[in-house]
Amino acid sequence: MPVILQASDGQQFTISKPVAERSMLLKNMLDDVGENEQAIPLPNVSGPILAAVIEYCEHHKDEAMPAADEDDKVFEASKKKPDDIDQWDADFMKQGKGNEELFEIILAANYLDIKPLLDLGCKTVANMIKGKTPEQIREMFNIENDFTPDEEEQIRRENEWAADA
Amino acid sequence: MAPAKAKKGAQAAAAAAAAAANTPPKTIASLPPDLIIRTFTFLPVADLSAVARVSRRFKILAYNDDVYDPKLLALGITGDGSSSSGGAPAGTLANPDSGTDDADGGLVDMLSTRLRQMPGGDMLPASTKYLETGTLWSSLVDTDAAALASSEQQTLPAAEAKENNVSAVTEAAKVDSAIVASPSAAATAAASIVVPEGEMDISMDAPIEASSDEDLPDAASKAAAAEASSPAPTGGDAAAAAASTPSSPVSPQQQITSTLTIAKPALIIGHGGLQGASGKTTNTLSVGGFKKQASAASPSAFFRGSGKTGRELFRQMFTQLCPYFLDFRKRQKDSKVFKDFKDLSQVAVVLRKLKLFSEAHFILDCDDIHFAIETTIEWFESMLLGQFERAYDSKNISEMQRNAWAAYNLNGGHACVQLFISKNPVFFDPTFNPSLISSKLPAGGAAVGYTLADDFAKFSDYTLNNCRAQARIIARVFPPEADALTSFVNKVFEDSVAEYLSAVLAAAKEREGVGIYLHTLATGIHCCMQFADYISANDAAVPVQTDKLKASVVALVKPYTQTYMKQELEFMSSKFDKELEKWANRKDAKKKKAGATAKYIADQDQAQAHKRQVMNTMKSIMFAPVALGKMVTGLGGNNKVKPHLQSLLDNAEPVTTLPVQQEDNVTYHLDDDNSLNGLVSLELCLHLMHTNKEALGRVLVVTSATDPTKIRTNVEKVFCALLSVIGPNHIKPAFDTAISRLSTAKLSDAQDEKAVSPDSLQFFELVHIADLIQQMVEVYYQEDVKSWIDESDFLADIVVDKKAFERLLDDCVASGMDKAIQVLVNQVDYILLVEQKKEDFNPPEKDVVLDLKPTLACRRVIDCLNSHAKILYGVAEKNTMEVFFGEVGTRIFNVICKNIKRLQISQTGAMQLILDLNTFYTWSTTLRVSSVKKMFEVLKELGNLFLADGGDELRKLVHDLPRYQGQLRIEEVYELLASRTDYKKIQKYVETKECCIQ
Repeated sequence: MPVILQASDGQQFTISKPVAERSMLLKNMLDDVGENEQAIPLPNVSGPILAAVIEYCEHHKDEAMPAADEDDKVFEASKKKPDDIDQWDADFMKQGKGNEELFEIILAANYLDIKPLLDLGCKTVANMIKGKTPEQIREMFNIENDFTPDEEEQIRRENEWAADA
Repeated sequence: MAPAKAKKGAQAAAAAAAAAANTPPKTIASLPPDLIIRTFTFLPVADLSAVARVSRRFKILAYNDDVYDPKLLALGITGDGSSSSGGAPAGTLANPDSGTDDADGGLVDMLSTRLRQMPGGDMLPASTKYLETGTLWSSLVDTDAAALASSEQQTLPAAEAKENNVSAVTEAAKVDSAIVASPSAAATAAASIVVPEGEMDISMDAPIEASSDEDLPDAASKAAAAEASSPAPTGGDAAAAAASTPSSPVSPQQQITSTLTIAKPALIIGHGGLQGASGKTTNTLSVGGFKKQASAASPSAFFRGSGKTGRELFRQMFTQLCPYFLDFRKRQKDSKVFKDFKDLSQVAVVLRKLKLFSEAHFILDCDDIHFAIETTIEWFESMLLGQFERAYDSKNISEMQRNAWAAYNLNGGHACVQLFISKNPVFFDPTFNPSLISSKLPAGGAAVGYTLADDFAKFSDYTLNNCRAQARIIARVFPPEADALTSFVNKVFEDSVAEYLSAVLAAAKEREGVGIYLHTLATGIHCCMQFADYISANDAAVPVQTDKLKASVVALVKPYTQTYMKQELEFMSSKFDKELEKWANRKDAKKKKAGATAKYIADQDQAQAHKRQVMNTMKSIMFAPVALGKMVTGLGGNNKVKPHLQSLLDNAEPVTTLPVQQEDNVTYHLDDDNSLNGLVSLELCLHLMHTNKEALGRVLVVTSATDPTKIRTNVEKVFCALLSVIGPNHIKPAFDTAISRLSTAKLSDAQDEKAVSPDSLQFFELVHIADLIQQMVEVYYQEDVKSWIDESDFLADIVVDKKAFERLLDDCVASGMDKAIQVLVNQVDYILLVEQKKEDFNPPEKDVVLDLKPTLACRRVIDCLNSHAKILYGVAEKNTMEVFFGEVGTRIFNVICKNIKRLQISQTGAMQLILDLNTFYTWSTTLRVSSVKKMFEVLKELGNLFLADGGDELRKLVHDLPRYQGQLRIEEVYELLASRTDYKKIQKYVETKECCIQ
């Protein structure tokens, strides 16, 4: 039984149930509502982004589902490593995606409740931040520096313990 | 992308996320805060500093506890504080070696006495460890106190500093309660007091580097004493206040009380130990001469309570560990760890923390360092194990203890426990050698098989005592949390016990057969379960995971218990068959030698007495020895070890040997040497029930040990087997035989009591015996079976089968009764046919003188009926008799009527007839059945029909229907009248009148 998803721009995608069930949101919805011919509207996700998310889900559809209500705190140590990314996933995040798409995918993954994709997105962002100076980070993400130099210096000192590692 | 976007707050970001996709392009600022925090959790620690400086919003997010909670978790500090999983709690170090030196000890005692005198002091734990300041980390307390004194020099905002104070104190106190450090560490603590306030940050970051060459070894103690001696009358309240409102102004007094607050958390920690097992042990457990100290850290609960942020806590851990960690970039065995810490346990704790630190990937190049740390830990552990082994060989308990605790602190100490187990002499003890079991058995004798179970119980007892001795050593060597005794006893089960049990069972099965095997198996399982219980209550008070031990017992007997129920049921049914066969043989033999020496129980009192006697005998046999089954429930935690093992044996043997002695009695009492023996045997049933009860005992022991959920079904299976053998296989055939004999019963010519058919007599005794058997089964059911099953479940096999059993008996009795009545009636009919002469009621001479006696036939019938009744009163119950006589009366009535119709009755003979009928009536009243009496009243009236002259009088009589009370129809009255000799003459009167009436 295929599932029809409708993006915010009206674009429709027909996908198989296992693919849809990578998303906890859709899985719970399908469990509750049962099988239905009607398209499921996803007003928070645009067509291109939904296509990318579906591509990710297609690729991972055969993997074991993460535990249903995985406690955020029960991260395994290995998961904390930002450079620990599967090759396909790395390529998936790289190919032609600017910052904008990246954040939209993160938001979509959060909305659709796809934990692995959310983590992948966050890791990707973390990898972008890693090793950069504050100024470089601001530049990369277009963030305005709203500190005075004194304040910034104070924060630097507060965090010396971490920085000198 | 508009730069202004970055300024937007959380709500704006959320709104942006919720908006449609054609809104302005997304940036990192459009992510909701939780996602940004999630991103930050993936960053190495060093980058968090850079991120915090990016913008105000980023700073707030980068300081959020959610960034640090996973990191703390990775360091083994649980976020929810509910448990310390993994057995190796973080941040703990209970060092057995280092006591406080005398001066410190005195101060500590004084301090604790004073604290106890304060309000709420009685709530303090008995241990004074929480007061000991000579610890590695306690410098933080003092530095923070110093920091407070010089808060104007603090670079941190004031509120944050206060928060720091409270949290730092709590942290330090927590470590206090857990770590008892060497005097050199006390010096360190003291040293940090004199560190100039301006260097606050440095002393915080590197407390250990404030090195031990200070010459103020007890300064810290003095400080503590000074704090304690300052007046703090509101100690308890202030403590509570400090805990609940950490950001309130902190005065020096409150500083002390906040030190006090940790008294309670320390207690809470104390409960944390080994999950499950140590829940039962008190936290002031005396282990090997020193107080068991609070062991597991469940910090967050009270860190949060006292205002400690996740970030601060992490910062603390990080700054403590990082220098040591980075040191491993270049060094391994010569690491700073080994220079700064002399005590093995401390080194172990630091190494373990470093390993966690490394696995959490806080630092970019951690992989190389990780390798170095792993190597070092391996090297360190093998060194510990080597030392432990040498200490073990030289029986140096304190050295063993030192290394065992260090190993525990390093990685839980499993390797050390394994080493201890592998070297343990218990496993090399030759006292009980499994291969010698067969040779130890006595050569012959009835109870030879039971010595196997006996032998296993002795072995268990011996091994248990060995294990107790080892438990005392374990109590001194290992920390309770290492769970060494559980592992040890487990190994004992897996190796020694399993081997011995399988040898015993093999011997039982091969040499003694299934019965002994089953007995030995049940005894073996019972011994093992007791073993687990008793070792758990060992006198050294070492905590043991009893459930785990029992699970391992279950696992080790699983190969046997899987097929156990099947074997037990098969064995039982084969034993049933054997008993039935044995009885059948005996019956045949008896039949050959015994003549017809039938002796019946003559009256009801005797019958009742017999019943009572049988039931008493039965009860004394079935319930005299304490059943094995009852012991299962009575096991609960008492500490009598020997008696229990002993009683197990004592009980097991009587159960099987007692009946052997009593059987002779039983035979005498239960099975009278009469014809009944040929059909059904009380003795046999008792044997069957006994076999069943033994099996039930074993099933209860085995099932309750292996799978308590199956107790009900297994008990049902056992009891149903008994019902099916006693019912269809024993009682039913007996009734079938009796009934078939009844239906072919010969009519008797005999005059006296023997006129009663022996077959119907047999049947009535059978009813009596069957009733006894049912009562016996019922008693057994009430005593032993009922408590294990659910009587209200009317679909359960046992309830259905029991009903079927009772119905079977009822049906047998009912169908037999019918046959017995027919036999009696046939006999009466036969007597009348043979004895009633034609002249009886039609004398040839008109004026014969009547002798006013009933005819011979009548007397014979009455004799027959009376002797029947007399004997039946003895064997059958009153209710049965009532039903029986009711039916007999009806049929006899018809037989008499038939007899009248057969004969010719003259008016002269009518007098004789009336005499006979009156005699029958008199008999009917003796039955005490009202319906029968009424019927015979009618019979009495009939005589008049033959006495009356023809004409009106007779006609009135004939048509006086109320006289016949509905027992006879008018046509039947005509038929009877036809027997009158002058019927031809009177016919027209009677019948024409009748026609007129009609």
